[in-house]
Amino acid sequence: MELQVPETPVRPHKIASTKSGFANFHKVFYNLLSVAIFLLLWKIGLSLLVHATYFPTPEGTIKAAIGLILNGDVEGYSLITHVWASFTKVLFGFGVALLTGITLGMIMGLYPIIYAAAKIIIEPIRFIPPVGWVPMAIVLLSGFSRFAFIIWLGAFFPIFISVLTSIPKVDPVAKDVVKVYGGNRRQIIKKIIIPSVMPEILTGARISIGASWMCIVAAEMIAGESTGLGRLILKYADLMMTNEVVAGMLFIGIIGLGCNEVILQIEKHLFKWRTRITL
Amino acid sequence: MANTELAETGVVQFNGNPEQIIKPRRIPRRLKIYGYNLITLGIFFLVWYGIQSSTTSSYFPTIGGVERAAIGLVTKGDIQGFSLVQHAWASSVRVFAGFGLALVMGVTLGLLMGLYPFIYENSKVIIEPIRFIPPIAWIPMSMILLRGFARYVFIIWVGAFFPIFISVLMSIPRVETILKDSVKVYGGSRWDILKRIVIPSVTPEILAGARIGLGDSWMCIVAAEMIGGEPIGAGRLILKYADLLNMNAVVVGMILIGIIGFACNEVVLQIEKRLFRWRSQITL
Repeated sequence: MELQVPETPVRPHKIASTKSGFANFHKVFYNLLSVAIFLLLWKIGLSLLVHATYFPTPEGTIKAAIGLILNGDVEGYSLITHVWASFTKVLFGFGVALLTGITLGMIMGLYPIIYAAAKIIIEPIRFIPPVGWVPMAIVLLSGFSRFAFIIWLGAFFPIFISVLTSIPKVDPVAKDVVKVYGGNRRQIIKKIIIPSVMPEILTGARISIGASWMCIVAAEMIAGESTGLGRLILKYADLMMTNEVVAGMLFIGIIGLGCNEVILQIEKHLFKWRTRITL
Repeated sequence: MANTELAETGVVQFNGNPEQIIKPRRIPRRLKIYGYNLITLGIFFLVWYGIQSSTTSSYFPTIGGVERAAIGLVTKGDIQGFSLVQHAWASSVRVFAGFGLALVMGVTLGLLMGLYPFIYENSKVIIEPIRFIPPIAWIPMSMILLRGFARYVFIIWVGAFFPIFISVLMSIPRVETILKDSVKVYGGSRWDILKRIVIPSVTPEILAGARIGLGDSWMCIVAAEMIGGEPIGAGRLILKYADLLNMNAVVVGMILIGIIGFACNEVVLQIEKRLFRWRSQITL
């Protein structure tokens, strides 16, 4: 008797299905619908409030956003100045964290004894939130280095930990194959470990750029420089102008989303062979 | 005779006693690592001492100063008379209220949107921008619109909700299809699949997300306490002393925050390890 294999229905890939114009139209339509529902709920919420003087309104937020883009803030700094101030701080701290995180992660991953021996110092420091370092940075550092230090702290650990933990996960079969063909330790590192660890490094980088944005906002709020997106929203919060605060929050959100999206696209492009890339 | 000769040349012959294999005569690895850790700690203090004696800054925290500040804070409390336990307790209560709320909502919404992906797909335009607003950016807003306890709970909720929500959402499509199909083959309904396959497969991811969320919560509470004006809380403690330029006490506060964060992480990690022994790898 012949074994009958039932024909398994091949599921069309999600991304593939959206390529047709019709499905794309549907997606846009539903997304617009959810925006409309969101705005409606916002309006209903507003009308239910008794004292809504300080509560942000959709129109007010849009007006505030346009005002911020066109005229700049109350102190005359343009939005670009604020964005640029935050952005350079983040990129600098993040770049340094990327370099130090990958280097130290590789060293400690390849020689686990170093990590095991230094755990008593690394672990307690890892669990001090970067924001907790802000007062210290304000007193001991000044200007740009203050922010770069905070960003570095926030970005370093996610990258470091992701490199460190991904090295033991490298497929031993691949390593053994190199050994069988007479390869040495150096070749294992160059041909097997580094390529296997790359995706994890980028994932760690993506998490840490998110953490960096969180840290920069906090650092700018507490430390007293007059530019930067964190400062921008606090400035308007002090004036009780919540529409501008919401507009500022949206700008921060959009930039964060943009950074995430850039790294995600790099990941998708470089690691097509990986089955799944998480959000 | 032969044995002693071999021993002299450094080669030990197996004498038939299994203990010879099981207990090699050397310092156990664990003890060695403790030793190394002590050495690292020594180096750390040495470097600190080096910087402290070479720096000209009078604000740089010193080892002796931190020790004195720690003893002072533990025995007498801070300058306003609040004890260290009060600060830690105030922060913990806020974190747990916000985190609990985030856990319940994150798991519920994550399951809902994971099971019905079109809900997520079609509200992405709202969820994604909000997700990328750092919780700390909500602080000014919550200071104006909320007050007291609710203010902190809201910030923690924002910080902890998204990691949990996203980890649940992402883990549902990864549930093994073979398992789902075998339930179907045995005539199970969608409800059976959900109860017996999806939920058990997703729980490890939920806990991993919860651990990340808890870490984020600690970060948020520190920032929120620094900016929002209540006199107690671990974040406020360090800012209070930073305003007085008393860096030694600031370091004590940071260590306190670090220890609590570490303990929370460790508790969730132990739960994970205990519940999911069958998983090959649990990350740090």
